[in-house]
Amino acid sequence: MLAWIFHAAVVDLRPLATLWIPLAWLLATMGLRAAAAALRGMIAARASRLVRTELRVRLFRVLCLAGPQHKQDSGHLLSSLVDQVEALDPYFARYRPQAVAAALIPALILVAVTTVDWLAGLLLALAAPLIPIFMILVGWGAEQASQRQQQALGRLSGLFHDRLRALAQIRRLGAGPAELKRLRAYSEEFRDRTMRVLRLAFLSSAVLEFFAAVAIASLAIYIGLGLLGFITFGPADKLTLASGLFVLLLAPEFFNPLRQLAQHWHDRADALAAATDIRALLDLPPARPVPAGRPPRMPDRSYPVEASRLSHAWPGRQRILEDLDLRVDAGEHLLINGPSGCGKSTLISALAGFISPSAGNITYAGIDLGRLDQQSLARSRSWLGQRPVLFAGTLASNIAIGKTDASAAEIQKVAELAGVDEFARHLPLGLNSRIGEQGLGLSGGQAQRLALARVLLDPRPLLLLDEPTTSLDELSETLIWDAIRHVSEQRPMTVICASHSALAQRWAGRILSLHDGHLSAHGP
Amino acid sequence: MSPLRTLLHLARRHQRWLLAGLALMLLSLVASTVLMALSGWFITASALAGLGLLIGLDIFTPGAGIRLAAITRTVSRYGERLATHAATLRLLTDLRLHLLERMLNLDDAQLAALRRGDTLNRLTGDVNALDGLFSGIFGPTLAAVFLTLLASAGFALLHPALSLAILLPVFVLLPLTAAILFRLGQRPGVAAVAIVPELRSSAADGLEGMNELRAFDRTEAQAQAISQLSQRLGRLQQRLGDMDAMGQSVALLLTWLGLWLALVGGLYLLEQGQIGAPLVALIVLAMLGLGEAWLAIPGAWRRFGHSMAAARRVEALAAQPGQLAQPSHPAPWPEQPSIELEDVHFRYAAHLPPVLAGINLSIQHGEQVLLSGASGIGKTTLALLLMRQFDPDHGRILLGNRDLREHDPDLLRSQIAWLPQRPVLLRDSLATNLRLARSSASDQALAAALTAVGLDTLLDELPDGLATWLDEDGANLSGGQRQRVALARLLLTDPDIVLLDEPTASLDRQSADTVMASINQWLEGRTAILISHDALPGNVQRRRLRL
Repeated sequence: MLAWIFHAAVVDLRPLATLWIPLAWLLATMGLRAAAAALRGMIAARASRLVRTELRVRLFRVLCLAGPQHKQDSGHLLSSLVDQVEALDPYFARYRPQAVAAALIPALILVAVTTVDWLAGLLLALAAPLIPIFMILVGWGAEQASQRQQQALGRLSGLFHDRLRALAQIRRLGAGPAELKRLRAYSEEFRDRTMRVLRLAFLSSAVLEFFAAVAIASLAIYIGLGLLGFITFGPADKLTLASGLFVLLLAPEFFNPLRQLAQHWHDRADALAAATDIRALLDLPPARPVPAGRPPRMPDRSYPVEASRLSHAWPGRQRILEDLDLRVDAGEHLLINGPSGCGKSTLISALAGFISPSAGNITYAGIDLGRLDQQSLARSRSWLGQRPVLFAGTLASNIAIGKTDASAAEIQKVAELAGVDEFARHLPLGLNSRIGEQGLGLSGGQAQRLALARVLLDPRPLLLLDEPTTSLDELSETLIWDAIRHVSEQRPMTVICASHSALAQRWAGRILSLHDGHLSAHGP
Repeated sequence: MSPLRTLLHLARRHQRWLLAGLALMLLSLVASTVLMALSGWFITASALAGLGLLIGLDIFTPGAGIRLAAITRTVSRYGERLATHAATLRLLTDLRLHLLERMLNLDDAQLAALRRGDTLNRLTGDVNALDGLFSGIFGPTLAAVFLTLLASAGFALLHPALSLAILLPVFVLLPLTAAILFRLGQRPGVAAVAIVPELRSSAADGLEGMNELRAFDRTEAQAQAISQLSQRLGRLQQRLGDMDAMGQSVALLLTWLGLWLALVGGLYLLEQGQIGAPLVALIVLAMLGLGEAWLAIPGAWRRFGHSMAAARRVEALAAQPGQLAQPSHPAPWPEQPSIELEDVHFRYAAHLPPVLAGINLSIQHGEQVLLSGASGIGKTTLALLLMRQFDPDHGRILLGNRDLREHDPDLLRSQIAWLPQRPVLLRDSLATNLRLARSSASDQALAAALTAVGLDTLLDELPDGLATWLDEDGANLSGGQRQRVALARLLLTDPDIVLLDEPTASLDRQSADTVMASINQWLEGRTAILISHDALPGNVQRRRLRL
């Protein structure tokens, strides 16, 4: 269009006044192209948002179903859930649309140019077979470059992070200046190495640039000479100023998408790395199969619990439970003890339905555990672990997690029972005080009392306790056993507790020892 | 704009690299503009010559010019990328070291706050966010401005009115767009940055408390909470993405508007017979080159808001004054440092219950005390107060009969050795970790210290011995080994007062005996407070205190 107007004015010497309509068209086309570009960016941003939001929730659900069996540390999972999902953004927002553009646009331009002048098209097409080579070059070079660059930045930033964390210690040891010097030396050595790699890696995109520039330059010269009439073969003598300019204007556009693709290459590398990690997590099998059919009605009074021929082994480890049989009567208080690492927690997790054992089955009131879905499980049993996790929120909201509609009076009552009130009383906001991340500001004993209040707020017929009193002092421990006894007197509960505490033995009705995967009556 | 000033100050040291990068960036833009402009001129001139309208066209000079421009563009772009990367790496290193240096002056309570929660991650991320400031924002903007000035000067030579075509859209409207985007992008940008820690804490709650959530059938509720935060974050990011897309389109449109004006102007002048047709082609195509230079500018300035917010946070952390009062005339270090606590009260925050309420305690010089008591009773807090990581709310602590607050905090820190329950190890070699305590220590001294804590077998097992690299927080060591490495490090120092928090907690009986034998020997003649749940091995007479 531009070319045509120019041609009309220059060659045909048409007065400016007659060109206003095409000029207006030109302006409109420009607007259209700009709007299309904006639209493309917006659609890409939307797609990226949808993909990431959906993926994150799905990943979390899979992790919840998979339970603690994968044994990965939560720091790593957290970074997958937050940072790695974020790392997919540039890929969906920039790289993918650009990859499509890089495949389509050069082809379209080639067609357009060839219809105008096949020789010019041939010149571009000569550059086109180079495109796969470019792609490899770009892939190799840019990948190298971006990886090295990310590694360099990542490693330097890791050093910084590490030293910041240890700053108090460094200073206490009087090593401040020496550490600064060491860090500088590290950084410099690392920078030199990185730059050596980059020097090579950037060459590949320089080659791409060079070909693009040479192609444009030779096109320009070809068109110029053709117009001059120096080139007599082929379609050169049919070239007009309009078609010549047309070809010349399109030539840079032919290479641009490729160049931009090279710039977005590291988005792809980062996203691929993140995606590999995420996919591995998404493939985690659920810890227990989702039951088919309607879950049966569960009794709401205490019931017997039975396990028969129970075996379990964690992946890649020796069997920890072996053909274990257990029967607990309704309302019984059973204590299971044994040395640490003997499988007490595994047994409690299996009894709670957190994991499905490798073999054997468990029944609540004669009903197979596998038939219960998560909701009916949650209504039939409660569980208290050895290091309770408190959630961001107030003391009260943490107590009411299992019964969100509990009244303030109910919460207050259970807080008094579990000894939460004893320390909450000293807080200006009482039970409405906020607790920080991971129970910041609460001691281990206080957090454990809070967790106890949580399970006693709406007591279930079965209570499973996994080392509820480790690292507690005598006073807190006595308080916890008293509270459990008090509640079970009012409302009979079957209680199964794993613990090696001496105080627990006084509380229990029956004691069993777990040894080599078997249970035996407690020795003398 | 003080955070920026710090950066600019640091940048001055790398002027050479930054300027080189800028110059090369400009050169490549000029070359690419010249390439297009010259080609346009050449083709038009050729066409006219072919039609017999132009006589005596020299085809070799422009041909050579085109080739030169092509090569210059390639070479200068390559150089520019190298120069800007080198400059960025240098600048970030300087910035980090500068920050560390300044943070060495923070007090321990502030440093402890830094380790808590997300602060440290954010600080590291914020520094990283500054890497694009020069190569991604200032550099391209300056280069685009220079190029525009050059081009409009060139146009003005042809006809003053032509430079208007450039100046109006490019110089007035484009910066305006960038400024508007900068303003618009600030709020959602800051909000997006603020949501990330929230999302992280919600996800962390969900992962760490998974069993609790499963037990109460609350996993779906947590999934919904994560989903909501995720969506809020996503919507903000989408708005930012939309802004970038709009900004780029507006930039495109504006440079084309300039091109259109140049075309109309050029054609008008052509009609008036003031300039030749080839020159009009040159102008129009030069405008295309100009457009390329400006394309990314508005988006870059949208992100500038983000970088500035990051810079402000970094600055705020680095510039905070110490919270504990420094003595103007520090007391001399006492000959016989005895410790006395008089009615000490302390709570961590006004909304939290007191940890210590009216503690009285007196420890003679050279005395060894075993401190025990229930969990959460404040044993560790007491140690932190003695090191003056905090000041008591009420009452006082005396060291050699002078208030702790009268002593030089640095001297205090160097004279009190402290083994925390969870010692921090550097991501570095084992030797470096040990030499933090005494940089002059020989390899033999290091090995002796390791032997003293029963780690001689570990040293034999490690593939690279003392040069073995420790992962973050010593993750490739067991808990007991980590603690003993920290202890070995402590044994290399020579303090007057020693505070050990559960020195044998994660050790089996036999290692505990070895360690305590070495500790007891080292402790002779020093004042020591040992914190422990239960009695420590070894038959050293210690006064037992219960909190």
